[in-house]
Amino acid sequence: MKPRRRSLAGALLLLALAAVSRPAAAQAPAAGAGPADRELQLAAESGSVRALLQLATQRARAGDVRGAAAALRRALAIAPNSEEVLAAYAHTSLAMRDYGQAALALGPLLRMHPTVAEYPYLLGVAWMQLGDMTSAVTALQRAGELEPHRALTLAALGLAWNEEKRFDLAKGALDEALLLSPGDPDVLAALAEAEAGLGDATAAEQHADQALARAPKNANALLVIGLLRMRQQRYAEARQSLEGAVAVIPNSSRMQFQLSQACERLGDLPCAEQHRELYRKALREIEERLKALHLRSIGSEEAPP
Amino acid sequence: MSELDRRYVHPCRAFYLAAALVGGLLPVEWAAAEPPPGGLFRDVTTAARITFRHQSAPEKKYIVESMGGGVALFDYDGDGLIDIYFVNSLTVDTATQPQTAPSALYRNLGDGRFVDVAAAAGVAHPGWGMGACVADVDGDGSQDLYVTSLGPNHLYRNRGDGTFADVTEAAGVAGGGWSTGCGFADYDRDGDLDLFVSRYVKIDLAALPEFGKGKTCQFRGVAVQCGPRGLPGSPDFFFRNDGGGHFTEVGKQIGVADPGGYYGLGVAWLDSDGDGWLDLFVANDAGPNFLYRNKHDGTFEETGFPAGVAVSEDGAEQGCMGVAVADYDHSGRQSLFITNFAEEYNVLYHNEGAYFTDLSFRSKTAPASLPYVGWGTAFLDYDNDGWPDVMVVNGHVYPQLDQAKLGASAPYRQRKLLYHNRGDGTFDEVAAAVAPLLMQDRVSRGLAVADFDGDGRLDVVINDLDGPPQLLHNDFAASGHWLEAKLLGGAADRDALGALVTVRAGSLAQTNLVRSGTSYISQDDMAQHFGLGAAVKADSLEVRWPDGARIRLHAVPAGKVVVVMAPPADAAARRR
Repeated sequence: MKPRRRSLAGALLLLALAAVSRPAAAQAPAAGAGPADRELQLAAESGSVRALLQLATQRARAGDVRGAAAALRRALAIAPNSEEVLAAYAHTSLAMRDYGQAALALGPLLRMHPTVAEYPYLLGVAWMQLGDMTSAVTALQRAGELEPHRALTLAALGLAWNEEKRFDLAKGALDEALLLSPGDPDVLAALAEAEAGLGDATAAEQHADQALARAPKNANALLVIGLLRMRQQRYAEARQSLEGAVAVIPNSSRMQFQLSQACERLGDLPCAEQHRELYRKALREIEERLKALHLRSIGSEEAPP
Repeated sequence: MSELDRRYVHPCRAFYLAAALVGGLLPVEWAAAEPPPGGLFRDVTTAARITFRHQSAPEKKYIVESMGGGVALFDYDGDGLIDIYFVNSLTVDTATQPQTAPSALYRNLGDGRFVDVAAAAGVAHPGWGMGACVADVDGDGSQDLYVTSLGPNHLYRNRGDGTFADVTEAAGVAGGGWSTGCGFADYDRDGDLDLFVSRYVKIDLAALPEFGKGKTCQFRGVAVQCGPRGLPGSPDFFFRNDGGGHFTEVGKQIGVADPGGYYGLGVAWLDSDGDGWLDLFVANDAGPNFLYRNKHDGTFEETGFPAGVAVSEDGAEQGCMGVAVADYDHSGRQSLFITNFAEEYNVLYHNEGAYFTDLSFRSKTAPASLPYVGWGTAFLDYDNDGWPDVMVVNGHVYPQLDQAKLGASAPYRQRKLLYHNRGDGTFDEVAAAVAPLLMQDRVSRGLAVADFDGDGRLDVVINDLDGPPQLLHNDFAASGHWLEAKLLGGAADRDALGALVTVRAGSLAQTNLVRSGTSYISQDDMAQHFGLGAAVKADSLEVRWPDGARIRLHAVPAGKVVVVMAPPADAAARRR
């Protein structure tokens, strides 16, 4: 079984979704960082989980997310089953884009608190970022059962279905998400992708255009337009759109691959080779990230590449 | 037919026509049995007295126990009837006892029954068999058999008397390691047949990766066999025919060696760019596919990425297994259909001329395939409406899967897929509606297609992993008219491998290419079958021979097997 090659097209949306759910600790703007190891040492030596949580909050507010994570790892060592600590660690890990650690923290939270919708939602987001769409869908469906008609969950589920190529299911979820969150450019872009997959080029283009009217740098919408132009053999326009997409998400294997194909069709072989190489690099990065994930356990310090 | 037409139609045609009309002439047991109501296919395996059973270890703890086996359909004894060769496999426990899992060669008795003659014919024990391909390598008029294996492969030269001689060593085509797909072709037009062999994982039976150990040997949290990811791959082989019955491995020199050691499986020869020279497609598992473009100078250039067939539209490296080739949309170009791992999708790469486009979702072939692990596949016009349909056989590699959280994947045993070509570039998946038999859950691997009883409807043979095979007789009642072309090439290439057959009937214009090595490590009958729909004749049947010469027959009646001979070399030169 090989790992799924996750498209990073929805990364912006996912980060936005994660950010909305992030605790106050992680949302506060930076204001004079300056975490001291001694401070952490003192809090840890006190054996007080409360002190470590407070320290983590302070550090996060100061913009030192890594410092916050360090404090939370100490707290986890003392209280590995504390909901407060696990939730804070999960949120912090998501903010750090350390999705493997987030998933490891959210697993026990789900088991201990099976009726809280936020945890399967966040776990679904983490799995999506890790490229395991099957696990993501399972978690997001659970979140949807616990809290139906929530736009964020439906949007994430739609994205996961898109990645699974279940475009009919994706469209259903995204249609509802759009009703709940009208005009959301990320939802519009994801819906356009589902419609393109279903072969409805007209609707796909319309929704992608609407997304771009609201967010001209929406990478997913740019990708959809690029794909549609490729299919229409309008390669120059495809290239332009795909160049816009990779400018936003340069490490998207999918976008880099499509751009290389557009360049190839235009006869620009150096461009094709350049973006094929970037595509390969993006694939290698995913491989490395997955390898790193397999080697880690909760609370381990190494950040993914 | 014109005088010229008659000249190149085989004098034995009457024999083949009789075979073609066998449904009315022979007491075929299949026809006597009651077909299931509305069923396209009827399982005649038992009636045909086929008792072969592919063998494998029940738990499939090692990847070598999950990948076999292929099936080859050819007329080994020259009686005009298609025979069946089933490749059998060993297990880690029986690896040193090749006698425990004999392969089978079923001779077609012509009355709906078959008899296993493998032992007498000398082809029963190729070792740990994987796949097979066929060609008349020595041009003696009898088709020879090449069997890929874990260990040395085997070239069985057909003596023409119902027996084979194992000429592997003398021919220098044993290879080694773990070979899977194969196919013969005269790629350099030097008048003899060369051989490509794909290889999969580099594996040492004495030091196998431990079942379930490590994250890459787990699936959905359940311990499973390891690989292919995480295991080293093997480069491929290309055996160039030196003449005199000997080959030399030249993969590296001519650019098809796969130095990266990708996991090669299905193989297909095709003329991807319409230049009249044979190109080569290799389906790689868990890696980018290869499309080797023939440079006309004895070498190839790998163009998978620029041509758009290396990966999916998303840029995803898929777990590619089998490959089918056809001009499914009457564009005159050969497109590719690739079977893949579960939660991926089977890919239809449409040939645009200079490159290919992934039309899987637009053709509507992709969605139905997502839960299944696809293997053997074929374009076959099951209803003879003139539009090639697609069949796919499925089955997972992990028996342990049934204990696991399945996600979007189907269980270990899986149904088959049958796509009906709508003639507008899209397909409907119709197995449940048209062929309920295909909904049985099985673990299938090789698939090959032939019209066994000459009734003008294409039948299917499937080799299952660790189980009995299936011979599915096509009972489609509302079948259209048809025509079959059997080519007799020149002295050194009697099969006319690489010849392109074009049939025009009214508004239909279809092309097929004669090829060795098809589907998933299997071999279709090389006769070219064309559905004609309502047309009672083909307006023309044109053959472009491998050397570029062309022959065109006019007003060819439907319902017949037409045997077309290659023109003599001097005549060919004049008509080129």
